[in-house]
Amino acid sequence: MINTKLPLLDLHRHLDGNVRAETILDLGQKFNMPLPAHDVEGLRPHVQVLDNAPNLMAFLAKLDWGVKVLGDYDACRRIAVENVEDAIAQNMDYTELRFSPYYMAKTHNLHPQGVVEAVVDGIKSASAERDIKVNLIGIMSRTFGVEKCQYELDALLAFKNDLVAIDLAGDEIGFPGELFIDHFKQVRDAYLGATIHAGEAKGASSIWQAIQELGATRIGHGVKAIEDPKLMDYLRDNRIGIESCLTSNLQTSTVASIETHPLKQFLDHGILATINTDDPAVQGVELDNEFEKAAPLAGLSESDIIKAQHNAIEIAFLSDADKQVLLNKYA
Amino acid sequence: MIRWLFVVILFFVVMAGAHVLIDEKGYVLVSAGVYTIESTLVSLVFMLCLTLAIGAILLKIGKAIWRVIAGVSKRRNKKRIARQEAAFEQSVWALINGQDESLSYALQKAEFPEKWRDQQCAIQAKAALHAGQKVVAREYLQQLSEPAQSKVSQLWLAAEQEGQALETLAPQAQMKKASPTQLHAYISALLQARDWDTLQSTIMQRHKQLHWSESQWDSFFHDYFSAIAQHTDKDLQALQSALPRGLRALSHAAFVTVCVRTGQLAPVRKELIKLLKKDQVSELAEILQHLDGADIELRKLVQSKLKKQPEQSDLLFCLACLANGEGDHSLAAKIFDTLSNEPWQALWQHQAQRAFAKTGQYEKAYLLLSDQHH
Repeated sequence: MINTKLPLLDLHRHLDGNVRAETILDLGQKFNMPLPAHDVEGLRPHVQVLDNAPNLMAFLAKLDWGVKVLGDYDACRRIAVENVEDAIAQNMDYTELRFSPYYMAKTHNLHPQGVVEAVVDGIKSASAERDIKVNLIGIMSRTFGVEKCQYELDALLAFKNDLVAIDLAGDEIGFPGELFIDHFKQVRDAYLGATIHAGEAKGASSIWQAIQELGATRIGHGVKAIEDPKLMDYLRDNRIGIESCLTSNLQTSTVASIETHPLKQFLDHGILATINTDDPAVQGVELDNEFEKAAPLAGLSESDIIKAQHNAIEIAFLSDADKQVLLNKYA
Repeated sequence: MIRWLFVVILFFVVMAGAHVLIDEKGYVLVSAGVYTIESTLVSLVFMLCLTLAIGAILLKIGKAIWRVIAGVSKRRNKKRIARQEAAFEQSVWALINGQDESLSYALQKAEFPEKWRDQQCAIQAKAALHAGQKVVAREYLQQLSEPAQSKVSQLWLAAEQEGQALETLAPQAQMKKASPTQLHAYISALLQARDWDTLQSTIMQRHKQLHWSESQWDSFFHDYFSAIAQHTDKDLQALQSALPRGLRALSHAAFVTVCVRTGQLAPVRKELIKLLKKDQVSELAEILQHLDGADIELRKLVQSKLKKQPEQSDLLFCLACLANGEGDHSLAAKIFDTLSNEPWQALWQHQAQRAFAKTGQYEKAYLLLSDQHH
């Protein structure tokens, strides 16, 4: 259950993984894309996971549709605006939307910097004078290689004042964190935070590397941390947050079932773990589902959920003053 | 018309008034039952003529109205025919260009002319098959007239109605002077119906009548051996040896490929080793691209050859295939990581995807897959 006396936050939410089926249809038709269906209901099975049977290749294909239809910068701006609307519809007080400009740009050969500009503009205009605060996290998609990540980082750093952090996502095994040490040096030089997808496909060593060599203060997913007790202690003692995404981890086979997800153990151990969505539109679930259904399935009690909500405020890429403003809303 | 009417009316007015002028008093009595008409002769003639004139005018008006009504219906009919012909023409072009979506749209918009109605159903069935809607395709095929049903055996086959196709094709193919096309269709139907014995005997007895090119034979034997390996326990080697000498040679490449693909390496091992020893590594790589099975002997030979030529990409690829076959996907993935620094070859796609997916590198595997589709 969401504790309504506390602010509701989603810290791990991919903007490019949350494109509505209606929008995919609309943009696909606008840009003459050969869509797999010509109506929303027909399209849905191609862009959304309809059962929880894990099939990562199918998941990636569904994720891809959301960015394949981004034929111009207006389309990028549109999905940014819709992401804010979706977050408002979930009664969120604060969210950090992350996006990979190269991933969004590549199908239609857009310029990643133009994509960042469009997304920043969309977020600013959609959240202005609304009862929500939205920050942006830029993603480097390592799946496309080290050089493309630098290209992507350059585009992101051109708008560094509009971002709060940089993330490293994608193929964790094929492109280990060691390849991105120099990238994250640039991130630190730009005074941006670092949150890294680690311990999702690869083991605990990947999380150690992300913290020690890349300077991550938050870990995306981090499921495999449970395999290393020393790492568990380190995460707790150094107040490094874990952005857990319960349903997503099931759909991508990171965990065998939600019941065996280590989130409860993270919380019990005192780690600053949180509850998040990941790719809501592809997963076909929203934040309320993660709190109301997934979290209890993962063994979280009401007090665990409250703890997760508190943790989210603590690890959010916000200043202390902004955190206080959030808390004051419910005081 | 008005002038003519005026002349007629004037004529009868003169006729009617003439008796007064000439002082004629002729008297006529017409009696029928209780009705009688009394008149002068002239005015009777006048009335008669007037009746005839009115009748003629009414007839003219009737004809004109009829022409208007018939014209509308004719125009409508003409439009309908034009629409049908346009739909027919559009569908034929869509069919020629393989644009199945436009085809379905054209067929939804209008019906074909009556005489092409069977063809319309057949085209609709083909479009439905293309869209993967086999049940819909069968419904269209059922709507065909009986003579037309016997002309679409390939559609019946595609709609997985082998029985229906064979019913039509068997009598044609069993004639002594069956055409190569009829025989081809019959053999395809037998293959699809998995009637192995009839297929084998037909091939043995009638292969000379088929006039197939080498590539056609290769494609056929590829499908034949694959289907046999997939659906039966038959010994592929025995089957190939039983073929007439001419066909044995034609089937050899397909036989080797299917053996490798199904992991039955024993019958072809010597040949693969020979290729390696003769430095025909690219041919070996071509064959191994779909390998699904282990062969330690061959792998060791490839590895020892790699010691002398460590950067030979075809050899590396062969080793990756054999590693995948043995379940050592990590080694295969590492090899493909190395190979990715060179120009990527389509030949590597399948095994690379397999290696990356099996080692949890799904995004790499997915990228390879999507690149393949683009």
